[in-house]
Amino acid sequence: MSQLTDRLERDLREIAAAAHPSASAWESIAARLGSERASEVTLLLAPEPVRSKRPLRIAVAAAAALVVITGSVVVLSNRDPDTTDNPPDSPPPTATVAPTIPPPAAPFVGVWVSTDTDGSSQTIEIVRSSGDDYEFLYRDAFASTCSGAPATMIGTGQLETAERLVFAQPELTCDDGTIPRLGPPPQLELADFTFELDAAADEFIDPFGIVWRRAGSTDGPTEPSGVTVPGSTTATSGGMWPQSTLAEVRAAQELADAGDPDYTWQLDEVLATEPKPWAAEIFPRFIREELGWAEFVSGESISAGFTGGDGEGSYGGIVFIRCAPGQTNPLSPLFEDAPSSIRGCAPTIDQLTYETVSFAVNQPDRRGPSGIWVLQGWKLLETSANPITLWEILEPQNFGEYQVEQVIPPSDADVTALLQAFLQARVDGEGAEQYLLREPEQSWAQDREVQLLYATTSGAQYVRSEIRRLTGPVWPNGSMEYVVQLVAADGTVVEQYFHVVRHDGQLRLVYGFASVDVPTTENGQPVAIPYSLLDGEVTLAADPPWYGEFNDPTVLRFECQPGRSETGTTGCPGGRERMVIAADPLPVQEGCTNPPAAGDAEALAQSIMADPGFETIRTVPVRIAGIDALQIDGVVSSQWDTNWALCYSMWTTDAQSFRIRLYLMDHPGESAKVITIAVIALETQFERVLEQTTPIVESLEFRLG
Amino acid sequence: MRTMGKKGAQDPATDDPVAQLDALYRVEYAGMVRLAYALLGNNAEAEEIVQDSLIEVYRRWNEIRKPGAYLRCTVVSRCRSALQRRKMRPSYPLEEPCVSAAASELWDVLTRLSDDHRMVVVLRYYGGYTASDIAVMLEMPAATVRSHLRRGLATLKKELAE
Repeated sequence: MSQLTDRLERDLREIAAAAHPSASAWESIAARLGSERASEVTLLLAPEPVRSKRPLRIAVAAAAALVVITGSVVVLSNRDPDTTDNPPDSPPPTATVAPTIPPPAAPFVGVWVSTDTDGSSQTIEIVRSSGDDYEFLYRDAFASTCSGAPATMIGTGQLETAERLVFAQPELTCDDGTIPRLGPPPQLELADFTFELDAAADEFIDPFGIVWRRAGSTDGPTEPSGVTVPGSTTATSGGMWPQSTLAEVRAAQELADAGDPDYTWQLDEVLATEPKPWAAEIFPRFIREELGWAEFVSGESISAGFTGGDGEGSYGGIVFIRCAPGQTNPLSPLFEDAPSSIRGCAPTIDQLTYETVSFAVNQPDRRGPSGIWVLQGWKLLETSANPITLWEILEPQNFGEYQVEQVIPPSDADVTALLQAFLQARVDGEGAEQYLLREPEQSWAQDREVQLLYATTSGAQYVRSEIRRLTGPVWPNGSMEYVVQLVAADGTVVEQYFHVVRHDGQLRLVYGFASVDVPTTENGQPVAIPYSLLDGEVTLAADPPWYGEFNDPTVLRFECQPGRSETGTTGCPGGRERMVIAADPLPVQEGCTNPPAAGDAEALAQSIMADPGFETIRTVPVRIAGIDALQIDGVVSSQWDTNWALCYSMWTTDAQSFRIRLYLMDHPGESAKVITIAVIALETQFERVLEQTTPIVESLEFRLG
Repeated sequence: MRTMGKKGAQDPATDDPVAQLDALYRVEYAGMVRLAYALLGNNAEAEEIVQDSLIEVYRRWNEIRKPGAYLRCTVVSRCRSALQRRKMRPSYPLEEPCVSAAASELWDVLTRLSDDHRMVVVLRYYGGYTASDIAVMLEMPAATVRSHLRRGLATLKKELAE
C-alpha cells in the first residue's frame, strides 16, 4: 500500500501544480469587496442580523410545506403516533378535516415506514389530492444526504397503473437549512420518482430499492439492536434536538438571549470553551430523556476521541456507553487499572458489549459563547467490523465507530508462552516473524520492522532474555505492553517494547506503538536505522524517533514520530518538522512543463534562490561526507511547492512560514547529478530540529564502486 | 515575507479587514486554487470557488477565529457542492492536466471514483489532512471518511494495477 500512497502524494502534487492561479485575482476580489462594503452600510440600517437569508428561506419553506401537508393527512386512519417525527414538545397537529380525504380503497394512500440503508427510520405519508393525482411527504430523521440532519421530501405525482405511482420531480430539503448532497431542488436524480406496489404484501418499493410497509403493520421495519428498556426510545438514530429545525433554533436563541432558563442551559460553557466536550449538559439530558438510559459513562472515561472542537462551533463522534443499573462490570477484577467508572459499568448487551451512542453537536445559528448548542444528530453504534489499521486494533474505542466491546485479557501464562516462543525464535535465529501482527492489508500505515531481530548491531547472537509487563491489561481490548530484554553472547543488552493483543482469536505481538520515543535501545542507546538511496550509492542512518519513508526511489523523507505516552516527555519538537534527502530534485517549474534536472548543485542553488517564494538568509560553503557542499539558510512560505521534492508534504493551510536549511552537493556517482538535503521546521523549533537532524546529515556516506 | 496564522498572530499594523484579507489571500490563494483544482479538475472553477470563499471569509471576519481554517473548510465545502451541481448541470468541463503520463493515468482513475471517495483521497494525500480533519471539512463522521478512504484506495490499487 505504501507504494500506492507514495505515488498518490507525488502525482497529486503534480496534478495540483498544473493549476495556474491568476496573478490578478486580488483585483477581482477587491472589486467585489468594494460592493460588499457598500452593502454593509445598507445592512447596518436594517433590523435583521447580517446573515445570509437563503438557508433560512429553505428551512422555512420546508417547514411550511410540512405544516401544509401534515395538516392535510392528519386524519388518515392508520397513522401510528410513534412513527411521527414531531419533536416531543411540539403540539399535535390540529385535527381539522382536510378537504382531500382519500377514499380508503386508494392503494398507496396511508402512512408507510421503512428503515433506511443507514439504519435510520423514515416515514412517507401519501394522500390522494384528486382523481389520479397524489402527494407525498417523506421524512428521514437522520439523513445521510444532509450530514445526519433530518430531511424532508415532498412531491406531487400521478397513478400510472394501480401498482405504479410516479412523482415527476420531488424536492428534497434538509431541515437544518443546509443544502443536501444531491444539491438544491430540483434534484434531477429524483425525477420520475416511482413507487412500485405489491398489493398482496401491502408494501411498495421505492427507486432506491427500499421496501416500505404500512405503519402499524405487524411486519414492520427491523427494530434496533440492543437492549430495549421500557420507556426508552426504539429508534436507532435521530436528528436535531431539542430543536428540530433552524427556525426553531433561532426562536430558542432569542429566548436564551432573553434569559429564559428553559433555553439558557443550551449556552454551554463546556462546549464553548473546554477542549473536552463530554461534560456538556446536552448529552445527559438527551440520554436520560430520549434514550431512557439511567446510567452511562462518557467517552472521556474510555479514552475515546472526537472530531472538531476547534472553537468553530461543532463537535462530532462524541461517544457514551450505557451501564446496566445497579451492576458492576463483571470483568472489573481483570481490569484493575481501568477508571472506577468503567469498573462499575456493566455492559447491557451481553457481558462484553455496551450499547454505545455517538453524538454530533453544533451551533447552527450563532457561534461563540452566546450561541445555543443543539444535537445535530445521534446514532446508536453497531457491532464492530474489521479494523483497518494496527492503531485501530490497539485503541478501538478511540475511533467511535462501533459498539464498545471489552475483551477478556489473556492470562499471564498465555502471554508468557507467546513472548517466550517469540524470544526463543530470536535466539534460534529464525521464525520470530510469525508471532508479530502486521498492518492489515487495507491499511495505509507502514509496517515498522523490528530492529535487531536476530542479532545485535555487531552481529552477536542472543543467548537469553527477560520480559517485564509495563502496562495493562488496558480496557477495553485487554492489550498489554511489555519490555523485552535480550542479552547477546558478547554481553550487549537490547531492550524493546511490544504490545500483546488478541486479534481474530489469537494472541499476537505488535511493534511500533511503544509508549516511549525510542522503541529499541542497545546498551541504553537508540539503535539507528540504516537507509540508502540510489541503489546503495548514498547511505545514512537515523536514530528513532526520526523515521524515514521513501516518497519515490530518489526522495527519502524523515519525520519525528513520538511514542504514545501521554505523560512522558516527547523528543519531537512540534510535529511539523521534517528532513528530506533527494537526488536530482526538479528545479523551479515554469508553466506546464517539467524542466530537466539541474546540471549541478550550483545551477540548482541559483534556481532555488531565484524563486520568489524563497527568501535567502545566507549561504555558507561546507563539506559533507568529504564532499564540497553549499549550505543555504532561508525562509519559505507554506505554499512553497516549487522544488517540491525538497520540502515534500510541507504544504499546510494554516499559512505559516518555515525556516529551511538546504545542503546541495554534486553527487560523485553516476546515478544522479545532485544530492540535496533539506531540513524544514517552524521558526520556533528550527534550532532544535537542526540539532536533532545533524547526526543524520553527518552519517551520510557515498559508497561508490 | 508576510505571515499569517491565527487571527491573533496577524500583522498588528492594521485592523482593516480588507488588508488582513489581502494578507490571507497572498499566503493562501495559490495553494487553495491548487487544492480546488485537484478536487475539481477545472482551473476557472477552482479560482471562482476560492475567490467566493475569500469573500465568505470577509463577510464572517468578526465571527471566526481562524480565517485560514475557515477558508480551507469553505473551499472544500464549495468544491463538494460544485461536484454535486455538476451532476445535474455540467457547467465547467473536466480539464486534462498537463502532467506526466503516470500522473495523467492517476487522474483518469481518480475522475472515475465517486465524489466522496475522490475528495477524501485528494484531501488525505494531497492536502495531508487526517481523517478527523477531513471529517470536519466534509461534515461526515470520521468513520465514514476512513471507509471512503479504504474503498477509494482499494479501487485505485485495482485500477492502477490493470
